[in-house]
Amino acid sequence: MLRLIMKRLFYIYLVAAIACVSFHSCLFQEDDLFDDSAANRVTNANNRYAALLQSATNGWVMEYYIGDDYSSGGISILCKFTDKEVEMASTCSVPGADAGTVHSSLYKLIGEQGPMLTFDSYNPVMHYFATPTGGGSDPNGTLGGDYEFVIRSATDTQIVLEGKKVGNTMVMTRLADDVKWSDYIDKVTTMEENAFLNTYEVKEGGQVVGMLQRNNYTFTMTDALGDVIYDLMPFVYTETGLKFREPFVINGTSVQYLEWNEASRALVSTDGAVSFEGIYPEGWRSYEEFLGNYTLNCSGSNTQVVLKEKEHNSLFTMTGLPLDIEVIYNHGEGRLEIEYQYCGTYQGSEVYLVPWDTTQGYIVYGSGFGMYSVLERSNPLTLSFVDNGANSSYVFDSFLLAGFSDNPLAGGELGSQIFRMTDPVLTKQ
Amino acid sequence: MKKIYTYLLLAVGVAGLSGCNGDDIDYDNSIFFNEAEIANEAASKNSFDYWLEDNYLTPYNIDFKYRMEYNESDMEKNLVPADFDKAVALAKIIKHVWMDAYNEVIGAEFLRTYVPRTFHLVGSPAYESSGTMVLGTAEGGKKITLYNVNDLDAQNPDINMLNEYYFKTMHHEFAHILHQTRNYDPSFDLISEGKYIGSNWYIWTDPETGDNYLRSDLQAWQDGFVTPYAMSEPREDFVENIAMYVTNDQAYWDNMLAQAGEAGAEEINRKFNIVYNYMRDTWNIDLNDLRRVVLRRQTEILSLDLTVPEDNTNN
Repeated sequence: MLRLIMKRLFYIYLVAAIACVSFHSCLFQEDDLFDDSAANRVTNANNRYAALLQSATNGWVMEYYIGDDYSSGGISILCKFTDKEVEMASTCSVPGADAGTVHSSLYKLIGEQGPMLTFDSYNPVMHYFATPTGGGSDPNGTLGGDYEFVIRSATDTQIVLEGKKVGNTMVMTRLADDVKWSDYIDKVTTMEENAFLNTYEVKEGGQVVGMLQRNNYTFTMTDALGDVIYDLMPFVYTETGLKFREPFVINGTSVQYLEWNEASRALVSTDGAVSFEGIYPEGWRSYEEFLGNYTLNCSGSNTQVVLKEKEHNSLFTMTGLPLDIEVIYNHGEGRLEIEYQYCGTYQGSEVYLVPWDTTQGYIVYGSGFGMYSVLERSNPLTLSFVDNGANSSYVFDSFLLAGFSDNPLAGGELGSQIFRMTDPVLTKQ
Repeated sequence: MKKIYTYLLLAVGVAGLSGCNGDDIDYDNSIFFNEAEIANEAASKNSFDYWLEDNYLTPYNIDFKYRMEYNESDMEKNLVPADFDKAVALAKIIKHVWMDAYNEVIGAEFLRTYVPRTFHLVGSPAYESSGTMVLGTAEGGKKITLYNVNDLDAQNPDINMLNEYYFKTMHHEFAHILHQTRNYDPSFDLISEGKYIGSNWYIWTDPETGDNYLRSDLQAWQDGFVTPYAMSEPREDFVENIAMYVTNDQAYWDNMLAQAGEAGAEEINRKFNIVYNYMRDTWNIDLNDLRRVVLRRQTEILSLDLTVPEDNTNN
């Protein structure tokens, strides 16, 4: 029996072996889809892209879009490539790189998901947006920037990139040789300062057809009934106005490029049909109006304080308290904002200004938490403060200036209470 | 029967080896030799690349990757590359304080044999969802990844920060490679058995209120561990002993034992005894010698030239 099975098996194997040999063919009739191997095509493409990137002697303007699905809008990054490195400068100030300052780093063209451009050493201009925040509910989260890009297409004057992780499409346009980087960036940042207001009326043919609300570098448009028509439309500021990432339609008119009109403080579409006119929110006050001496009233007790210029249209220093604190000027809303901050050392301890929810009885640490001013009276200028909504669990009504053994976010323990800023009201003298 | 199979195999083998036409090697279309690509790569090399060849690649066969490589990194995490100048400074510091310390104590052959072949620098920390930072990882003795390089002050390096972020990590990870090569006495694992708490090592729960706090060094010492992280599992405990011992002086060690209390100190001492003997008997390294050399070399960092090496090539 065993012998019989073996014999049968032998025949099966023999047939299988003969079949294998005889299926072997000498004719290769399958045509290649491409003339060259995938590896060679990627290498050759990258060689071409390297030459193209370096051929722009004055560099490229990259429209760098941030956030999942472009949700924070875009900034312009100028980048110039040599065979060894890349120089970058942008229109947006970030930690480690003020707007316009040039920072160099390395880059490489690699074959990964097709030809890929990777900025593989740190450059604050770009990598700041891809750095994990290290705090909050998602410590691994970032602001939504990419630094590795698949090259989707390229011509002599334009390269289209797609971010690898976040996935936004970015366009790089060749910068003319006679443009000075600093002039370009100055014009864009000036443009941004001109259009500081957050709310705009949309007019088409002289008629108000909706409202726009700016949030970072996006606009959300609502119609006359307040319903959202376009949500978070990303744009970049240009030298003369702004450019939406994609054209969109207002009452049948397609809009993508807008020019700044200083006289009417409005952004006007290139054909003049559509305009966005800036609206001052109620209670808006200029930076200059806030400068001066105040009485700070906290639950009945008065302290004399002064708001001094720290950075025009952006920051004040408040003196008069045991330690100076920084007060933010929100240009678009024309109001003061006070947030959690480090104030320095005082009698041997690290002093922080921490927001305080006196109703629930908690002080809370974390950047961004705080309050903003509300105009109570115009004459004399009187301001109260309300919670800024940055923390969903607490409603802040006060601040505590307090000493800690170390940074409270790193486990420093609360020591002395230096100043209680309860229910603060500022009255200008 | 066996013979038939043999013949059959031979027949199939011969048939399989037959070709259809003359297969000359096509060097012109090789994916490995693209002249333009080679020229681009040569042009992109900088003076630090040459320095790394001379100081890491040639003597130790170490590929020191200071540029971000996605495929080398933890793809679950959002990471950014290391800053170039900080990478230069760190490469020089690691060579002086870490590599040359082992060379001085036991000779270059030791590192040549056991050092991981890839070092990868990452600019940001790698954050776990709990918010804790990963400072370094070692993978199977092949690769050491060092994170948070962009926090290094290259102009004025702080020795405590260097120890906390890098040297403790490197001694820690290298010790893993050593014990994975030749295991330590298993009785080590029994000394603190039942106290290892896995990934919750950083949480200390107040027994009275039930509130959670970050576990302090002192709490770990009193439990018989040299650091809170040593409480995660026995092999981490083992390598933390080495890392803490060689990066801290005797005064630190004595203070730790004093504050640990009688029970804590006794447990630490029993475990360290095994660690010390293991290093001496298995690797011929006296941890006291290694510590002396490491601490001396740490103080020499401030006199090192940590700037980008000068270009000695004609490129």
